[in-house]
Amino acid sequence: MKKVLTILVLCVVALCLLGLVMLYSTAFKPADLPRFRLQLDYLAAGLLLVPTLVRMDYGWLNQRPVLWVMGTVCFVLLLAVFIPGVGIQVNGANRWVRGAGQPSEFAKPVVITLLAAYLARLTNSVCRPGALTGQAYQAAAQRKTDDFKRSFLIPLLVGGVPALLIFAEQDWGTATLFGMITLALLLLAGARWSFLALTLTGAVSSLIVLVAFNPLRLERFLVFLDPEGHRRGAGWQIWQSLLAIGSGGVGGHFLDGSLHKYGYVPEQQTDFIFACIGEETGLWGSSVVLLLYLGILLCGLHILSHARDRFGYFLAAGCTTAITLQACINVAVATSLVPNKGLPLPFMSYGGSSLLAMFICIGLLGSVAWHSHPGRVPLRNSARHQPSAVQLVMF
Amino acid sequence: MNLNPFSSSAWNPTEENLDTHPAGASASANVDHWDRGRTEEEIGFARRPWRFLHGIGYLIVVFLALVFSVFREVKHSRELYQMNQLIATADAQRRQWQEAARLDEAQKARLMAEVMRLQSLRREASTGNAADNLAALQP
Amino acid sequence: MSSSAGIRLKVLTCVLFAGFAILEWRLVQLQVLRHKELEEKAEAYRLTDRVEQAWRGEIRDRNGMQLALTVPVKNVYADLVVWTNHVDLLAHIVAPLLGLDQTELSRRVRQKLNSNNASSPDGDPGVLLLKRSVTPPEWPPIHEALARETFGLPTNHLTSRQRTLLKELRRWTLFAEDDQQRYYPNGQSLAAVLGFVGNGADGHLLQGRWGLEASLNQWLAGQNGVCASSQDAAGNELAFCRTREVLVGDGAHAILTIDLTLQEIVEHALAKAMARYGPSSASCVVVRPSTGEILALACLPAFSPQQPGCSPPATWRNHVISDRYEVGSVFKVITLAAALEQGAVKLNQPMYCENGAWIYKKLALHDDGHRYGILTVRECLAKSSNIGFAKIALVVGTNQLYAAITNFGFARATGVRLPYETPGFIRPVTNWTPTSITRVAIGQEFSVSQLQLAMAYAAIANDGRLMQPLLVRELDHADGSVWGRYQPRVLRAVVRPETARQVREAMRDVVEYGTGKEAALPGYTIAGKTGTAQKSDGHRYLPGRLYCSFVGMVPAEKPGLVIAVAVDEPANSEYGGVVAAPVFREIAEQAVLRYGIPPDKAIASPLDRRALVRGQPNAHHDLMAMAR
Repeated sequence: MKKVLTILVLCVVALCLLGLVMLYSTAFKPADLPRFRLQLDYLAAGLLLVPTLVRMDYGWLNQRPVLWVMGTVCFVLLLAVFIPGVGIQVNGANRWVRGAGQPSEFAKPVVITLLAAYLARLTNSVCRPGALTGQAYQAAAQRKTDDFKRSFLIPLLVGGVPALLIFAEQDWGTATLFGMITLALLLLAGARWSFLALTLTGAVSSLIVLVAFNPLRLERFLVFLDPEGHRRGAGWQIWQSLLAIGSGGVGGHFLDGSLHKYGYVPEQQTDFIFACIGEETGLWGSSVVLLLYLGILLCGLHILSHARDRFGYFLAAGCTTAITLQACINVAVATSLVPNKGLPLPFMSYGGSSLLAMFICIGLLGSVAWHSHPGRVPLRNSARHQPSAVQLVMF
Repeated sequence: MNLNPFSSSAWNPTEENLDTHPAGASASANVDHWDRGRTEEEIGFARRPWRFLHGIGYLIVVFLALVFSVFREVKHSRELYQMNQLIATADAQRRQWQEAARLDEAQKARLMAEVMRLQSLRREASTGNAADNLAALQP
Repeated sequence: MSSSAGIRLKVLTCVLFAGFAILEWRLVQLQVLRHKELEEKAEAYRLTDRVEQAWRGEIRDRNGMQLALTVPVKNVYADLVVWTNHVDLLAHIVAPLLGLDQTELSRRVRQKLNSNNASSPDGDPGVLLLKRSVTPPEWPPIHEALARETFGLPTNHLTSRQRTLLKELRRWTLFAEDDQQRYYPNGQSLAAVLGFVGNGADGHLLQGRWGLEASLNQWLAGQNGVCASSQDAAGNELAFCRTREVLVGDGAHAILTIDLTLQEIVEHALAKAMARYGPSSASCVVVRPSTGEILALACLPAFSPQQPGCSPPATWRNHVISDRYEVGSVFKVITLAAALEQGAVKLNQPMYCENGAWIYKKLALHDDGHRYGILTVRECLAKSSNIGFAKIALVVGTNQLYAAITNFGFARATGVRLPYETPGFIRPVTNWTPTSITRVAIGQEFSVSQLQLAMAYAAIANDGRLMQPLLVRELDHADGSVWGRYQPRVLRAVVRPETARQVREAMRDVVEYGTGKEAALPGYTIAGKTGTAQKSDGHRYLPGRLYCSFVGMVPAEKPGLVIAVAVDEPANSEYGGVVAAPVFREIAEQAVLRYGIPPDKAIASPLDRRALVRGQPNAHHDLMAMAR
């Protein structure tokens, strides 16, 4: 486990370092240097934060009072963005709270913790330890999951309400991410496939309704299919990102000076930093970045398969999914595979709230790792009669 | 209930696996386990982390080298851009100065033409005296 | 639940792995397969070829007074991309700023948008020129007014789309590009010589279309600078990416031989003649005989080079060099010079003038109603006897006369640095009729330009050396250093100095007691000749349409100035001596003061003194009139 933890931390540090260099590259105007320094400060804070969180036993979070406090604070902050005096409006979007950053980012680890705690309690409450075995256990578990309200609706709400609040903030990307994390955790917790399918279709259809009947939104939504055709209008950002990434080639332009970063890609320090990576470092650099995220994914999978308890399992799963999904979506947006979502690249984009939230996730992941078991440990009730609820083929 | 999160015994006792594993069991236990003495297989086991560290070390070195070279080039690019700003400002100033100077030239020409016009008016008015001037020049 | 948990984890894992795989494939697709294409398109945004416009050089007179210079102006454009959906709103805001009519502006913008849509629906709507030649101080207030404008949007609580729209509207509703405008500070002075400019070709903003602006265009225009480089998204150049740079070479300045003060004197005198006699045109050229420099060249009616389109194109003509006329009696001086050079006659040789009617080879010749008997050659010139000169020419001979004519520079262009110069027209001697010699002698049956005539007279003033007319004295670099000087050029010696002196002596008589008395200037010896020619349409002479001229030099002994005045079709069919000679005097009177030419004739008689009062002819003239 120490190896895995080491690899995890090294991946994160590597991503942060590369992110710093890329941010330095995009901060070519003297006015941008304070941003760079701010990022350095946040990274330093993260470097202090992560070991602290790792040493902390994550099980402490699984207590009702702690959970209720976290949930309430998060909810309040999410609502606070709409209060005129407290919330700051930038470009018509209410995402910031004065002095507290972006609540939607901090909500990520909070919601993951809440969901993990609930699902852990849910799966643990199938029966008393040792009460049922074999088929009986399975039947009992089945009944539990069939209880739609308890097993599906409530976790959905736990994940969904913050998502809706974030949706109301006009931050569709983060809301979608929350939805996907919730569904992933529900999937792992054993929800019925039909429930999942129903929810998925429901979400997709509501999205279609929201988008398709508003021609302006529909056009902006479909820009990702043909950015070149829309390059004069809504597709400018995506098209410039594609051009930057494409012109990087295999070797990248850091030797002879990348030129497309001089203002052609809007938001290139936050949501589209991958364009800068693509242009500066080319195929090899971009692949290294993807590899690093893949490394985080694999480490996360290993950690969750060796988690000490279900709470740890779900916590690790949630954190891994959050980081990896966000990275995938961001790169997919930058390469024009999905519509523009507005999600920053974890560890590399400029943005204090995002960085801290990601560091908290890593910290939680590391805590699960630090407080786990070296071998494949079967979780309770599955020691004798069922194969481990958590078995991975690879490890 | 102990509220200290850093103490591994502080978590909720309803949590499972208390019976299978003692409280406080953690990855750190592995380390203690190792230090209890080395058997043959434990020494063999100990080589793998060393190789692992070796490999990781190489990767780190290579990665740092790459990042450092990228950083150096980026720094160079930034310096070029700063110089570019100087050139751009100097150019803009030159253009402004040139434009102002040319406008002044035009103004000057307009005034000189006005002077010429007044001179010619004066001359026309005084041509009656031209012949007197001629007489005055006579020896 | 048991193995399904494992399956579920596998499902999630597979989904995430698949995501990474797709991303990696997409990166390969973009960065390897489509690399060239995307790089080219990226460069298309970045690469620029900036042209730095060369500044058109000035035209100055011999004393450095500016005759034509270039002024920086701005042209204001509308970027139709932002106008497309807001035509009326923007027209309402922009029209008062630029001083345009709002409805007209809307109409123009709509028209342009429609035509653009028709031709290329998906392309760039382009730009529309709204106003030309906005002075540079006027532009910043307009720009700032637009930058503060709200365009009807609410002042706060804007959505992000509204914010973007506001930013675009503020930046691109109007933008200005630098342009050059030619400024002629002296109004209509020297218009026919300077010419005017029009829109340029070959990347230059201005191009000379007429006059010196056209003939010197190559030097005035200069050479544009080119800079091939890259730019950032805001359009600023990235100087460290310059691949090619050619420094701009501003246009040269042309220093002319023209003296602006003298030019104004000449124009004023011509204007008075235009007012008094109502001719279709009046022109004058002043030449310095020793160097061939043209000190003044004026044609009236003139036009304004600033707005040539406001005057009819007929006024653009430079009559001095582009029009050829049968000059009539002024040509007799040349005939006399040829005769004296050849030794065919002497100044005091008597000629019988047939009492005013002579038939030579079936063609009648008369002396304008006068019946002269015996006149000396001198008196023939002074009294401008056609019959006398016909006989002189007969003595000279056809071939010699023709040779003299070509020697004096007629029948070919003088090579002055102006466009559209006419070489004049004279039939080759082989095509002359038997009576041609008598007509040619008195300036008929062939046509010459006024400049040719003035240069021929200048040759006589210059002791027989024919000079090339010099209009451009010097070309300077843009920074003021001398690039090159044109030196006066002697074409050839047409007559001996002694001959020239004799001709000038005879010409003095014209002014003293002959047809050119109006040109007399107290205190100065003037040598000149009048001319009153009937204009022909090629077949016959047109009654009532005359070309009246006077060409003179002052002082007669060593002339410093040759002044040729021509009045075309005066309204009352007056003689050249009446119409053109006073103009000569007026010009000469002020010119001698300007150049400090000292008087060389004592004011002898009290009658002359009375002539000092302007406008009164002298008593001598009155006596002669009574004798007629």
